[in-house]
Amino acid sequence: MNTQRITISFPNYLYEFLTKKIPPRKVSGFVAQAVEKELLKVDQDPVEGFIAMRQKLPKFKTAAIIKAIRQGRE
Amino acid sequence: MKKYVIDASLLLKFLLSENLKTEQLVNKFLILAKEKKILLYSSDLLVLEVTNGLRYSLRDVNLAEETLQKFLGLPINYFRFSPAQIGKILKLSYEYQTSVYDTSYHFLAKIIQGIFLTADSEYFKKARRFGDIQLI
Repeated sequence: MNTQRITISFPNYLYEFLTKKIPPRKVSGFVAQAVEKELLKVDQDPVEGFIAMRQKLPKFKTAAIIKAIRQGRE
Repeated sequence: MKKYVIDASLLLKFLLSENLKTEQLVNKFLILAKEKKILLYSSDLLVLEVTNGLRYSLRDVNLAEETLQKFLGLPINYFRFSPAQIGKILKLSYEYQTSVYDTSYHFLAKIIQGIFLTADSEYFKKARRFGDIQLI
């Protein structure tokens, strides 16, 4: 795969967190994956994303949904 | 431009029930909001109520979190009540024998001159005479 070498700036705390979690030779791949994931999110319209979520969720009776909203409050 | 107030029951019924009418209507309102043909409003309470509804409906925490993130991206104008407005909501909740939480959405619809959209039939029965409410 063709690649571009770039210089980016991180806040100190984030850089330290990154270098603690990810081995030095895997940082570029990790950052590229994270950026791609975020860019795909930006491309998706928020309303369409919410509407599409409906297909992934289990279904319940309305009374059970209302109960879940109020649960733990009484 | 028409204004609508939405509550947690509406959004969660859209996501979590098989009801075709609710699916079609909420879908329509969301697309109209996306196209900036209507304005959607709610109170700060909505985020916590939707989150609690997901918490007690879904067993899979990752699915709940993904759903929450999608919900947070919706074009909803959030409203924070003043102390005087909360006092008015309290009085109304006594008058209609409803919870302060539910009444707050309805009151918001009144002050922005919009329509309150809810899927909570129990609240609807108690407070429909206050007006500007639609059961979905």
